[in-house]
Amino acid sequence: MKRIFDFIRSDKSLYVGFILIGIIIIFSLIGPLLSPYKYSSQNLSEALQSPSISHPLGTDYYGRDMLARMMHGGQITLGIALLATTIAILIGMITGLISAFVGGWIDRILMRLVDIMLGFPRLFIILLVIGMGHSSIGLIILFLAVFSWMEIARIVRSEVLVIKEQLYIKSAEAIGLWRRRIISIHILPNVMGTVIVSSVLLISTLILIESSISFLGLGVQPPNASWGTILTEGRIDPIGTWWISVFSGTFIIAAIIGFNLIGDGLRNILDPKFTGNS
Amino acid sequence: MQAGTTASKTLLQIKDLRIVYKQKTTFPAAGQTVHAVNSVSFSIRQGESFAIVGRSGCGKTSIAMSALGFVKPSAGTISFMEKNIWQLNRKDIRRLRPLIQPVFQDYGNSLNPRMTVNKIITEALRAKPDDQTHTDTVKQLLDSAGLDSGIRWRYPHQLSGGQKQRINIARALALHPKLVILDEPVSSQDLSTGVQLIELLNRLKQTYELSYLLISHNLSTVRLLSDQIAIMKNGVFTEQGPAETLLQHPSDNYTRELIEASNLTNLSKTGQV
Repeated sequence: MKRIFDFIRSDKSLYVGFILIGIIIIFSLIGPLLSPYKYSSQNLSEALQSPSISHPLGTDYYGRDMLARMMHGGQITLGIALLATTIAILIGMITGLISAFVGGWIDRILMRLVDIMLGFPRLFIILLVIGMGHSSIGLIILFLAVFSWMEIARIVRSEVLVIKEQLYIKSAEAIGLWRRRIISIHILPNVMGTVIVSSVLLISTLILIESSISFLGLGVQPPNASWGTILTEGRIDPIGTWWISVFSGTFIIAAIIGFNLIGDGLRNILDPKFTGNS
Repeated sequence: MQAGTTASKTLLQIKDLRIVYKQKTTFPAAGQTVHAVNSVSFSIRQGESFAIVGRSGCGKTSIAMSALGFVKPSAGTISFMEKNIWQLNRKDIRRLRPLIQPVFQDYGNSLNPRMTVNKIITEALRAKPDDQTHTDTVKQLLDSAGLDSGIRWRYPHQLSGGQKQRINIARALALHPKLVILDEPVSSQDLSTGVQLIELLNRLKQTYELSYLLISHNLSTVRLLSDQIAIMKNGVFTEQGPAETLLQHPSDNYTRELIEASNLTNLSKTGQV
């Protein structure tokens, strides 16, 4: 535990990023257990109240407590981004590994597929596909993942192509290790640093995309709420109901900044020369 | 010079080896070919050191890589203990591999930067890194390579060049090899470290009854380590024979040039020019 704490403290960006994201995660996961209000409970007599002691972040058009909705929105927004990133990492890593190891025409086909997928404007395609059908959280996760694995695949492929020519891989082969052990012990740990950094940065991109989709009304649908859905409620009267847009916008920005800081910090640290017990 | 080696069974036999590299292009017919090795033959007996000497790009490392099973020959045979290594199935190759171990020139790149010395050597011993039964073996191997056992918890970037190369040697020894392929083992070291490494390699050769295939561009290194020498130029052996005879009575002009060059190198290293 102390080692993890020391690791986080070793870089300022990483430290600040972890504090920011830690607060947001605790707020989203533990907050609802302590809140006296349910995110979906309506009370029209308390509609559109500005921030007060009983409702620190105010209420929305249906008198729902904004704090409870922000906590719930955090779970949805972060959940979608994290799950979509996990799926994207899996697809990207498997594709990149196959491409780099098998080579030949399989590599060429996979990389052209990556090129084609990268050619599509991601947000536009997701909006188009989701807009044509019925939107659900599962579908949003799936589409975000399907249009986000390509960068990871390219990174993994290029890293593996470099690493597999390193002499320590040749030495491992000369020892007589199986290929799968060489991949798991020698190649993947040396690729993971770059993958983790890209993944953390991808989380922040996906938070932004999910918020954009939800803001346009095509993402998370009521009674569920993501930060993007909440943000869109504030556009009816942005001045009169400023707290709706300001607080949801602040959470989106804080989460993006937090993940970007973690990504930058990890990029600074995850160099093999820093992992030793120097 | 190495003397008194008991020559016995043939360990490695290379016959008419040809290695051709083809440039990878979208249209295979447009790719250029490079003839790295042309009809090279030699054999190494048990306990013998065979050196291939030549300038950079002459094809000597290609021979080493082919003998290690990394570069497929275009023609010819490579037999180790009377088995053609390029005709073996994967299972038999894995069984044979520990018996031929490499020590590469780029000692730093040969060690996984994320592994401690202990992990690097125990991996070669095919044991779990925390397996206590192997602790003594690791210590013994480090001691054989002239290293303190305390070094085993260090990472490669915390070691000097000489120490890294000794770790590579210790790892190679862990598998009880019969043949060690030394690809320019001391060329990246300073003079005194190089001399210490040569002494170590000579001692290990006697202790573990090793055979060496030494790849070098420098005859001054080779003369201290080998029994047989082959001079290589543009993919072919121009001269081949017992080390002493070849160095004292070279018959080829290219060999004379290399000897002269190595004498100059020695003089400049010792500060006499």
